[in-house]
Amino acid sequence: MKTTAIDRLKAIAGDESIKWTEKADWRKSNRKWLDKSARIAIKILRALRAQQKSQKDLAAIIRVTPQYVNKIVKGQENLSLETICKIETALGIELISIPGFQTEIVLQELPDTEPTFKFNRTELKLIGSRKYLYESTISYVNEEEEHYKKTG
Amino acid sequence: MEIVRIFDDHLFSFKHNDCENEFSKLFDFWSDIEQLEEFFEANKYDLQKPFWNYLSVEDAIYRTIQESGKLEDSLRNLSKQTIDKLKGLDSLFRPLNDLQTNVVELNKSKAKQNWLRMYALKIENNAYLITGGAIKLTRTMQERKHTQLELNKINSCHDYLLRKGIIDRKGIVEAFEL
Repeated sequence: MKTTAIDRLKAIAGDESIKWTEKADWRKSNRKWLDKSARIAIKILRALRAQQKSQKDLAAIIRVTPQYVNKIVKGQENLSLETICKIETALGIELISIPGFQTEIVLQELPDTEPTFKFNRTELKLIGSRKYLYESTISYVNEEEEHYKKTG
Repeated sequence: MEIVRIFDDHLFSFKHNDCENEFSKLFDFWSDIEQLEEFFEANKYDLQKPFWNYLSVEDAIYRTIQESGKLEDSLRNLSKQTIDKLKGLDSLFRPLNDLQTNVVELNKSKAKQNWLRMYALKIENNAYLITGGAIKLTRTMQERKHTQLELNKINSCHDYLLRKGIIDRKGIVEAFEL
């Protein structure tokens, strides 16, 4: 029976299907953090190039092995915040940033009048032959409220 | 040189020495930031063209890992299909020569042109043998060393199949790219 090209190919081919499917599935299920790790690696490598530093230099500054730095710059390392901060300091760059808190601050609109202070002033005044307690309040609208309380 | 099976009777790959096979090597390369940074730094002038929107090295690396992820997912999905349903490989691969001669037209018809290339020899319908791959930034493969090398590999792999009696001159295989 005449064999086809695919039959002849199958007869000599070794099987490496499991190797790839395992890798492909791992990459897919870890894609979210791998994506972040890759972006960090890009920033580190570009900073190293711009600053003419080697991976060995960086390893010495942050006190890890050059092999570990190499793993980081390949974009396959699940980095700790501590390591990220050490690299940020060593290279003087920002690798990650946390978005600001979502607290809503409502600022009360103030009138255009300038003074925003308020204080009270109390003094005794003699009006005619009687003593009055003079109270004065200056508020932010800059209107002076005055009234007199009879003190006796 | 040897041949290994990637999935079913549909996708095979060449393997040189004791290294990873050519197919796996490509996905490893396309997800290795260190290697990609070196590659795009060495080829950054090819990115500085209107066709690539003057992409930065950083953007080029990031785009590569994203495209590689999509490509790997679609091949993985194909590998899970049953044999009779598996017709997808023929729709993924295009004849190498057609693509080279009509590259401008093809590029225009695609909003997001991808630069990842996988080269293969078509054994029969829905059966391909990967010879290698590249990040192709120029119009023709002859323009850059790394793509010229892939052309040479296609030819030497073709000769290997002839020598081993897997194909004969009558049933000659065609070169395809993905």
